[in-house]
Formats: sequence, structure tokens, C-alpha cells
Amino acid sequence: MEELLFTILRRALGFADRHEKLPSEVFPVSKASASQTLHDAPQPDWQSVIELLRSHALLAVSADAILSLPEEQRPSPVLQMQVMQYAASVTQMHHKLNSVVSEVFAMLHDAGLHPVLLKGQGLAPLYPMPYTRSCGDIDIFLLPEEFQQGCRMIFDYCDMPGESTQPLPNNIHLTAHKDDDVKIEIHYLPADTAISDISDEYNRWLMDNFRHLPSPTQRNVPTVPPVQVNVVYVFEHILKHLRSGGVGLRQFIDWMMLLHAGKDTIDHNLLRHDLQRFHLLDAWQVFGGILVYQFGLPESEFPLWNARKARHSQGRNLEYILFSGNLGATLGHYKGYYYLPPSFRRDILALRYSLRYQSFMYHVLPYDTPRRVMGDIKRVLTNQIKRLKNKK
Amino acid sequence: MKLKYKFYFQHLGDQWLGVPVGEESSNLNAMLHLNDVGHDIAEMLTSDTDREAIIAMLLDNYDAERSVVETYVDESLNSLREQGLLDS
Repeated sequence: MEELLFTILRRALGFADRHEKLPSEVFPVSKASASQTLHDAPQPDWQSVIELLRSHALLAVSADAILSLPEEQRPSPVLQMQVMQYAASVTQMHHKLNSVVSEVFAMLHDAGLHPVLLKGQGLAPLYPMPYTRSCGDIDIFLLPEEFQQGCRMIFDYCDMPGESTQPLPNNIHLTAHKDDDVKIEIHYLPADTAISDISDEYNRWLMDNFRHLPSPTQRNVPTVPPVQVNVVYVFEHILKHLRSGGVGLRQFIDWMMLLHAGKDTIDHNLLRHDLQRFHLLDAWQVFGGILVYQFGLPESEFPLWNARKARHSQGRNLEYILFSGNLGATLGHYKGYYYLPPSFRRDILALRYSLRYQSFMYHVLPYDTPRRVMGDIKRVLTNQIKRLKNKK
Repeated sequence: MKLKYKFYFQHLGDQWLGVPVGEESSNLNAMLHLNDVGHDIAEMLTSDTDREAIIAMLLDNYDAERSVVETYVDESLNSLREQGLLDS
């Protein structure tokens, strides 16, 4: 199933080898007996593949590749319709979000502010079909000296005039809602980082880079972080999700599309310096393996490629990523665990995966590991105590 | 005549998906599922046009008998009208 998933994704993103065929074990046409036609040959478990793509926020991205397969290899008509409906809903959401982005940035630029569009909506244009990248909310960063004014303007725009613009403890953004279905996260800090020991320094570095961005060419066009900085920012965000509940393959693809876009412009020496400064170089070189081995990014496009380290991204580590899903969407659902009851048993299973994963992460990013392990154990015990109390 | 709603057309596999977008889109719980000819017709209908102009465009773009094209266009327009997607 994984092999089919990655083949579909490579095709969808334009990184498939021109001659690459679909995996023979999922389309074993050659094993069909002489009396069998192509239509009799066993079909792959499309339902599972589609569920996995959905849980990694990649179903819409894959829609074109799935629907471009020869007719006899495609999912059933019902599943095809589900894929199209999903792609349609993602496209519709993009139009809504982009319309809000356009209005908000025009408004803030007119007021002389310097907002920066972070993450999703700023990354979608890098995809071959931008409107198919799953989207959720709009992340806008405002410089500290512009935060109060910009935040007030956004709340007013969202018809939330009385909302407090004071930063919250233990958070990095305030949230505004436009028309119930568009969420805007207004960041006063760019990153809630996995590397807590150097969080302040990392945020200062990001803000310094965001402060000196060129002015936009048009008032309603958002400013996005420069690729040189964004590749680090997006990668660090992957680590944050990996360590706190699960990461979707879509985040790896965001990272890959950025690297692909910056293949001729990224300064490798500067990048090495920045990654070393924030203790991210080992992890960078390990997880690069997923981009090259699974998604087909040419090694030459991955800065600071190290094949020896990249091999560590495979096997159990890749399995954990598939297991966890976007924001932990598939945690406990992967490989038949879906059928286990939502109970202590499932928690223990997730914990086992997590601990195994943290022990691996200790080698590439040791700073937070002990705290994360304690956090995982505490979460399982707390859940269990809650269940026992509810039973009583 | 023209389409009553704004659509974004996306090519998926060997077909076209028309997704309603813009302010009015929440009033329409539907999507268009089109082949290449249907997409050409729908694209023309994004701005004001008439039956004859659509037929002329298809005769320019496709190697087909006029009578076949006329029947196809009439069926397509009727179908859109029945779904309430045309403004006249």
C-alpha cells in the first residue's frame, strides 16, 4: 500500500521517473492466468490508500494522478467521485482563503504595516496544482511594533471589534474568525519551536529576517518569507509536529517544494551555518532521505545531502510518520490498529511507537527528548485516570 | 446567457471539475463534472454569449458535423438550465 501511495505522490508532484510504472505487486497483471482479463486481476486496496492520503492531507494533491490512471487501474467510480468531491472542497476553500488573504494584506499594506504570510497559503503556489494543496487557516506574522495596530485591524475586519489584542502566555498567536469558516492566526512570534532551549534565539533570527523583506509589488499581494529562511522554518515545523502528536506527509512535501523552488538560489554555506546554529543539521540530513527516497527529489536538489544519514529516515521512522498522520490523524489507525477500541490498549500502542521514535530522535535532536518522553507517559497515565474516574 | 455562478475549472485525469467559487458559491451545493467539450462550453458561458457563438466555437475546435454539434450544445444548455445554472 505504501509503495502505491508514494508512486501516486511522485506522479502528482512531477517527480516520477518518466518510465516508472505502478508497483507490480499491487497491480499483478502479469500473474493473472491466461483465462483472466485485465479486469479480473486483483485490484489494490484503494479504500485504504485513499484513507491514508486523506489522513496525510494529500488526497486532493493526488486526485489528478489517481484519475489519470488507465481506467482499469483506477478506484471504483464511487471512490473516484469521493476523490473529486474532496478536491472540489479543497479548491473551494482555497478561493475563500485567498480572497481573505488578498483583502487583509491590502488593508495592512495601506496602513503602512509589514505583515508576512507564513506556512500554508504562502506555500501552495509552489505546487503543480496550487488549489489542491490542503488548506486550513491563514497564518500572518506581525512585527512586534506593529502587532497591536495590525491585530486590531484584523479583528475589526472579522467583525470582532472587542477582542483583546494582548498576547497570551504559552501561545504564539491570537485567533480571529471570518464568516465562521476562515480562521486567521495572528502571530506575534513566528515559531512555537521543538528546540525549546534556543526558542528565543530562533524566533529572533526569524523576525530579523522578516523585518527586512522587500515591499510587495502590489498592495494585495502577500509577502512570504525568503526561501533561504523558509526551508529552515518549514523543516523545524515538521520536527515540532513529529515531537508533539504526528506529522503529515504533506509537511514533508511543503519542504520539498520549497527546496525544489530554491534549487538554484539557496546558499548552501549559509544554510549549513543556520542549521548548525539551531542544532538542526543532523535531523535535516536524516529526514532528507524521505524527500529523495520516497518522493523522488533528485539528490542534487537536496542541500547538504548525506546518504549515510538519510538511510536512518527509512524503516521504523518512516513507519512512524505514516502511523501518526497529519496532526496525529491516523495515530492508532494504521495497519489494522483502526479496529482496536479507543482504550488504554491503544494508548499503550501509540506510546510504544512514540518511545521508539523518541529514542531515534535522541540521536538527531537530543535537547527535548527526555521531556517529550515524560510528556508521552504522563499523557497515557492521565487518559487512563480519566477513564477510571468516568467509570466510577 | 451566462453561468449564474462563478466556477473554477480544474483538469483532473481525463475530465474537468467545475468548482463553484466566490461569494455566491455557498448557495450552490454542486460541482460540474465535464469532458473537454463540456468544459469548452462552460468556459464560454463564464461571460455573456449565445447558442450560435458556442456552436461556431466548437465547429472551429472540433472536427464534427454541424448537426451533431447543435444537438450536443442544445442538450448541454438544457441540462445546465434544468439545474438552474444559467441566468437565462
